[in-house]
Amino acid sequence: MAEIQLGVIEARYADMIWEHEPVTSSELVKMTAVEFNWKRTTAHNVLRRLIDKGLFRNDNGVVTAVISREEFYSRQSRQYVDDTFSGSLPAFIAAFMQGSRITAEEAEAIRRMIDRAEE
Amino acid sequence: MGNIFLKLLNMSITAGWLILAVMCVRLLFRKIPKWVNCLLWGVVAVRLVCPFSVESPFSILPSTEPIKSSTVVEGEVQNYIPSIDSRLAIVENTITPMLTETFAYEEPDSAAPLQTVTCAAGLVWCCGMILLIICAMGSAVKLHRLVREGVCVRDHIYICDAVGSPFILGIVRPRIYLSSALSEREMDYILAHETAHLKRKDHWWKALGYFLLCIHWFNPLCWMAYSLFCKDIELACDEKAARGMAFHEKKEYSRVLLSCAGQRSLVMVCPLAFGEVGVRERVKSVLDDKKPTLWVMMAAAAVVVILAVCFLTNPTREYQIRITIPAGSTEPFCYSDEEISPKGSTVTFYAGQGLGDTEIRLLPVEAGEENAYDQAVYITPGMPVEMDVERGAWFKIGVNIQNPTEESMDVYVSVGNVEVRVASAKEADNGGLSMESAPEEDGSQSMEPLSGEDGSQSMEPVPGEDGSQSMEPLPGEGDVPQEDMYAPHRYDMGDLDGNGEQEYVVISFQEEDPDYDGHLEFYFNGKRIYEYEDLLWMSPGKAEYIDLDGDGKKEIFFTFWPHVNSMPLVEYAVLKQTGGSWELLEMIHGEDMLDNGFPIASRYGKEENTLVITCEGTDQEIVYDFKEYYENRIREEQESGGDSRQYAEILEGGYREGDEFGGIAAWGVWEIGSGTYNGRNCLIATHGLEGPGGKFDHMGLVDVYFDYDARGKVHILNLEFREEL
Repeated sequence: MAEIQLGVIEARYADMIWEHEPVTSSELVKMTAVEFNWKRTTAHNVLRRLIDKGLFRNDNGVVTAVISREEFYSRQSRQYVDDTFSGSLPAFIAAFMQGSRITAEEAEAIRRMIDRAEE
Repeated sequence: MGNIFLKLLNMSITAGWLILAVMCVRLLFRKIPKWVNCLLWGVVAVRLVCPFSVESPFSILPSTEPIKSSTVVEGEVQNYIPSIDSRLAIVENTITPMLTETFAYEEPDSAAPLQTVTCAAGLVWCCGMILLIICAMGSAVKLHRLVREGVCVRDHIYICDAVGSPFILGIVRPRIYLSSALSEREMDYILAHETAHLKRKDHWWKALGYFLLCIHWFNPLCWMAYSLFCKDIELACDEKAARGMAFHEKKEYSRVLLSCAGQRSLVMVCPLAFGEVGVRERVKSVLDDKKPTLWVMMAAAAVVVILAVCFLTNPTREYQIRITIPAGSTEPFCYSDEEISPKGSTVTFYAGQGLGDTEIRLLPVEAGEENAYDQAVYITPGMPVEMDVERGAWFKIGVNIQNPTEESMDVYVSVGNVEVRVASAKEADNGGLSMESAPEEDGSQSMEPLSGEDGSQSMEPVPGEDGSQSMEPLPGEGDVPQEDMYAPHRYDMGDLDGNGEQEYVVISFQEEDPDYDGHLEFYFNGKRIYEYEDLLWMSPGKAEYIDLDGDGKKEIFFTFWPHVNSMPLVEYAVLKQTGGSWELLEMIHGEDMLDNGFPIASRYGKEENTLVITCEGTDQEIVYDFKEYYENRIREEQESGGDSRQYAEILEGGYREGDEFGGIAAWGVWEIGSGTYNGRNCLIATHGLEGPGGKFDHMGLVDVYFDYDARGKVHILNLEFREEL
């Protein structure tokens, strides 16, 4: 099975569901409101995403797990940082944002510079 | 819209100078703490936003109105060419000629091109600004949607899965959004940076900066300024965040910066991600950061103050008022075309280019007290002279200079603290000409005005003068007392050039019956410019001041009536001023007074009952079907018991094509007046046309529309036949 990627907060939400499943979606809304201060629509959106990723299932408002927690975490190899931020910018502005990624050599050179620096 | 944009454009160009200066300072003074740089950008922002300013002599700005809005003139024919008021000679020599070619206009009826261009530009600007604002709003909405899934860590700090590079969102209650994947250590340092942003209120300054950019989006310097500003903000933030840290902490901070390389720190209110600062630069800035010495701080403060004074203040606007002394001028004073209005109660004049020691004078054009400016005031190069003036009144500047050479001469008077305009367009027929002398000039026609003595001064008031004569064409008006009938009389023709002095005609007679030997002189600004003599009685006519040869300068069109008893002939003269002298443009004359008109021929046409009218000098041909006309005449004659045989004969035909058809009625031109044809000023010579039936067979009128070409020759525009009387 292909690796499923979860963001940190998504993971916390998923943990919450695994802990309480089976649970109604309205219960989840209440819980996320307390835990994360999320609106109802946000809770539903993230739940939808988790369901689409194949982790959970919603039958008539009752949410149950498709994969168990242990099984899921055994498959994770790395943390996933979603840089969807740049997707919110108009394309022509995004074009201006190049040039800030540095190569490994440059990074190494700068790291050395930091290490060697003295007051 | 166009005016707003023009003012904005001026503001933008002015601010551009400041931006360049700030960029230079940034390059030269790298050691200054970056927050000083941000202050400099603050000064730029003030210049971009504030339309008002104080005038000071320290201002380095070339001008605050690089493009004069007063060049946009309404409607009237004006020879004024928009100029750039700039002390940079380069600007004068390149942009002014460009403006001249593009925008100088001479068509009387076309809208000022500069006006339509600025209007269009204003619309484009508005659209651009709205677009940028919409962009920003759209981005903000998107971001808000994105961070709905953020989770509060504490206070205003949130983490979110979808966030890569940390940013600040919101202006009133800003929130810091961090990536949820950061480690504790990373989060601490990044927060140090972001809270530094908040403490410096960067979220406000960047928003303001973007807003200014929306307004000044057309100025590339503004984009550069914004980019550098964003950079400086980031570096200043690094400075502030690292200030409280021990050195090893600074190294850690740098390491965090490095590991987040490619993840930009953005203060997000707008979508612009300008301000890319390389990691290397930021790391160096953090590691090298030392508290600046007192000397550096003082220098920095001095730089900011100097820049503010030099660029936030406007230059005291000084104008070079040009006075043209025409060739051969012997007038005591020559006056400027432009008029000044003092903003204060005194005006200071400096001798400008071409001016030596001379007497200077103000001529009130619109002023409350007109007689307060008669004292002599002398000006010398290097020594300015101050005059008490009426604030808000309008004056022309005059200098006491004569010009014996054959070329006209320009001198300049420099004056500040005034408003300047070209001679008011409100007065009719005003071309804003300088008062110039007008020595005699020969005409070259059969009825030449006599060349007389030149340099004659204005005439003394003549005896029996009857004040301003009406413009009526009726001859022999009973204004003149019988005993004084032959004495010279002056008739005012109106103030043609609007300089406050009447133009007039003086008519005199040499003898009594049977020959009148009339003598007519036309005076323009006190100078005799045209003379006419004839054995007939003269009646003054009217004078108009219109541009008849399309060169932008107005000519004098003068008609008058030489006549015997009550039967007038019409005579006309068109006088053109070149330099200081007047010449008579071509007039169409037949061999004698009675034939005074264009060579019009009327012939029988090819078709039955048609008449063809032609005129020498034009290819135009008018073909007129006269059947109905003569049928009417026949009926009229029969009804009134007259003899209709001659008209019937005409209709019966028997004439060949090309036979002469009647002719021009007696006395040649019946009337000459001014008019327009296709938007051009022209003259219209109206002739009576007779049919073959003799002088009672008045067929109608032939109008010849004509104006003048550049050489002063008659140029026929149109030929028209009107049947009615």
